[in-house]
Order: sequence, then C-alpha cells, then structure tokens
Amino acid sequence: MIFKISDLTKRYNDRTILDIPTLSFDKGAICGLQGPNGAGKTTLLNILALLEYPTTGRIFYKSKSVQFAEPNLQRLRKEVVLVDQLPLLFTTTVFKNVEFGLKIRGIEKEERKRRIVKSLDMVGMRDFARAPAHQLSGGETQRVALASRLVLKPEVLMLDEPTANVDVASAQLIKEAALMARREWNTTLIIASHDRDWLFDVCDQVMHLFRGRLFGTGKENVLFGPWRPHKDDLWEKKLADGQHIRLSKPPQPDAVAMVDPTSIASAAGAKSADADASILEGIVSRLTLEKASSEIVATILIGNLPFTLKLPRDKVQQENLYPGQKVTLAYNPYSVKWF
Amino acid sequence: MDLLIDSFISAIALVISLDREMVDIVAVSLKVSCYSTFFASILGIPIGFLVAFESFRGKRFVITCLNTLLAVPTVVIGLFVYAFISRRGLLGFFDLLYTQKAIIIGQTLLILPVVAAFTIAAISRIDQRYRKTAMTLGANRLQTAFVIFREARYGIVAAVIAAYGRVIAEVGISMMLGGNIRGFTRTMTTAMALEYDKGAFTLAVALGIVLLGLSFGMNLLFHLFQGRVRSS
Repeated sequence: MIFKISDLTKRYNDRTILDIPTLSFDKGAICGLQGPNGAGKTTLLNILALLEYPTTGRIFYKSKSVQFAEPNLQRLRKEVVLVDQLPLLFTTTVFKNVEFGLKIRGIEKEERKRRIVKSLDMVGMRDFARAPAHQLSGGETQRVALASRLVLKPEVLMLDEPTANVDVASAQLIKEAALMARREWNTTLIIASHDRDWLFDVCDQVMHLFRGRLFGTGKENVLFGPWRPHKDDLWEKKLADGQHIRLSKPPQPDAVAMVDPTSIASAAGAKSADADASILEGIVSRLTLEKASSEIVATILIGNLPFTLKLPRDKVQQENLYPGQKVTLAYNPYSVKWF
Repeated sequence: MDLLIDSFISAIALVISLDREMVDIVAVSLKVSCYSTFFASILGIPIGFLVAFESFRGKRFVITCLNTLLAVPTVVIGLFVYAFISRRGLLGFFDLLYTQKAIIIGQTLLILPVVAAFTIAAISRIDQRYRKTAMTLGANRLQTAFVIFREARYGIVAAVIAAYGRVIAEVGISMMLGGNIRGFTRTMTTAMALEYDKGAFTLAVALGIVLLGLSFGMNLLFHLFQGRVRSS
C-alpha cells in the first residue's frame, strides 16, 4: 500500500471541503476519481501531492505517517507529483521545462538529456524540445507538463482532469504515456477525470467523490433536485422528455439523490422485476467494457439524463442491447441515498 | 516667441557640439542617478520580493505604507536627509552635505518605495500555479522563490526603469542636498532651474532636450519590458 488516509478533513472558513474517514491506494494501481465540479477532487489530489495541508487526519505514505513540515514534504514531493488541470509551463524552452525537476534532483547532464528525449517521445513532443513553451497550444502544454513529471520516474503520478481541455489526439497521447509510466516503473496513477469510459477501462479502482465524501464506485446515478411532492410519500422531478422520476421523500427539496445501480433491474421488458419498481423509458447511448470486472457498463439516456447500470456480458447478449436501442428501466424508488 | 526659437536653435547647436559644461552636468546627473537606482534596486527588489512572496501579519499594512511613500515630495526627503547629514545632524561628522553622496542617499530613499512597490506588483501578478508547479517538481523554498523571481523578471526590470525615470527628473533633493555646485553637484535639473533664474535659456533648453531624450529612451525601454510582461 503506497497511500493510506485516515479521518482526513479539509475546511475552508468553516466549510468542509473534504471528509474522508479512510482511503487507501495500492502500489502500482491505477485509481480513478469521479465526481461533479466542486466535489473536492482537486483538493484531495493537492493534499495527496503534499501541496496542501489537511485540516485534520493523517496520511501514511509507504506506511509512514507524513509529517506536514516543509523539509519533510520537499523530500516526499520528489516521489509524488501532480499534473494540474490547467498546467503552466515556465517561460523558457520545452527542454528546460522538462529539465527543471531533474536539475533539482542533481541528475548528471548526459543522463538528463537522455531522459528528457525519452519522456518527450512518450508524449509525442520530441520535435518541440527547443520551442518556447509559452507558444504551445493547450494540448501541447498538457503533454509537456506530463513529460516534465514522467521524466522524474515518480512513485505516484496524479493527473487532475488530464484530458478535459485537450483535443482527441493529445488526449490519446496523454492516456498512453500515463499507462506507460505504470508499465515501465510501476508508478501508481491517481486520475481525476470526467471521462468515465476511460476510467472504467483502465482503472483498477474507481471512487466517486461527492460534496467532499467518498462513496461507491463512480457508477452511481446522481440526480439533482429540485424535488416536488407527488403522492404516497413519493417526490418527483420532471425530465426534459416529460417523464417523471419518483423517489422516496428527500430530506429537503433540493437534495441530491443517489440511485444504487443494483436497484436498476434490467433493460427491455423488466417491468415485472419488482412490485415497487417504477419504470422509465430511455435509449442506450453507450456500452463500455469494464476491464477490472469484465462486465458491461451501459449508459441509458432518459430525457437528457444519463443513467448507468452494470450488466454481465451474457445479459447484454441475451437482451441484444446496442446503442440507439429503446429500453425500459425499472428502479426501486425507496432504494435511494439522499445527500 | 523669438526668444524661445533662438534659445532652441542655440541649444541644438550646444547639444551637437557636445558643449563641455553641458556634458559635465549630464555626466553628474547620470552618475548620481545610476548609483541611486543601483542602491535602491539592491535594497528594494529583495524587500518587494519578500513582501510579495511571504505571508505574514501586517502584510497589507506594509504594502499600503510603501504605496503611500510613492507620493512623498522630493523636498520632504531632502529636508529629512538634510536633518541627518547637516553639521548639527546625527550623521554630520561624515561631512556629506553638498556632495554627490548626499544626493545619492536622498534619491535612493526617494525611489526605494518605487522599486519595492513595483516589484510587489510584478511578483503578485505571477500566477500562483508557477509556485505549485515548482513545488510538485520537487523544488525547495529557495528554488521556488527563484522560479517566481525568474517569471517576474520583466516586471522587475520595468520597476527599475520606472525608478530611474523618476530619479533623473527630480530637482528637490539634488538642490537641497547637493547645493548645485558647478562641476561637482550640478545636475541637469538644478542647472536648468539656475539658468532659468539667470534668464539664460540656451543651456537650460539644451539640458531639457537631453533630459527629454533620456526620458524618451527610458520610456521606450519601460514599454519594451512591459510588453514582454504581457506577452510572457
């Protein structure tokens, strides 16, 4: 285990940004962090990258408790690196940007050159070595920022939305380079991303962060309010296509609901699965293979709202599911977590 | 009008012929201004950098004080320094009054807040992500500070140029602490004031032309560096 967190909280002006009782990351694992904007993903990454102090709690790195004092943190930061969502490069050449971390570590000039060329190769930026860094595009900047971390052969590499602001080609290069780091140096990858398909495809473990708390696997369906009373203790929300989602009474009208995917019974013809079940009609928009479980993650669009559910491969085959197909979803309105 | 035109033509001739007296005055001006800018820079840049880079109690108060000092009149500084270096002053035994050193001390005090305040502005403009980037790449505090300094370099150079522009055109300190002694402490501005008093405009206009030329050069440099700040 490379990282372990216990009873970690982070507060800004009495507002709790993070509240994580326990969390651990295995050495060499690829871990995904999902969650909406403002969920606390960046704060968690900053704390794990030892750039921010937690308000309370402890972090164990390689089984040793991290002492949040600068000289100690500076030593640990040489093994744990972070690529920001919108990284900045120093106003010098691409080569010197990638060289910065190596110089700090006192690596010899020839070795530096060899490693810089290799890391720029990994992100497809070798031809830009002498280019001024501030003239690069957003995707190129992200790739050089990644190269400047990869060149350090880090123990832990954290990526904050690495593909959110880049084109498809850059995103592909970034994904490949990050995975190569894991293959070559057994680097632990912690990736915060909205790219669910990518996370489910490459991650050994995906966690969902919401309002500073961790729960579930990232496949939960998050339903935002406002909710209006319906009848029989049920509250509802009208969707764009006129259908209503009905759930048990929320703690407040603007509460956020989490529908457990196991309570979503099936696709087409699932009406009779549960006596309490409610039915929604939708269209299959995406089918993705989850590498870790070998199951299929199906995304069903209901109105504008994407619902996901995990299905065994034979079930998908049996139901003959394909993107564009109309399906009905059954869910239990009383099997809901409110936040 | 004829007086002005005649003076201007004679002044141009003086400038072209590199009149000895004019060259001496320009040399004294450049010398004291360069020294005072140098001393203000080696003091003001670190002060400005530390105030901007570090977090401490009273930081806002310090910045407010520095900004207030930007508006201090030269004669107030002249009076203040005079009180220290005159024969009856605390530092009277150094015999500094009416020397170039006295002018340099006064001018250094005048532009120290300029250099410090503009350095603070230059450092504060630097994106916080540079600090974060340096730290995540393993930089210690000193190395991180160097990164920030490097990113703010054009802004800091602009601060020094602005300070030089302020000091070369000031008259109060040079007059009060230098005494306008010919060939020794006579600067361009004090000479111009004297020539005006005498009603002899030729040298005054010639010095004005040189001063304007220098100011124009300073402004060109300033905008060049400001441009680099914006484009970096």
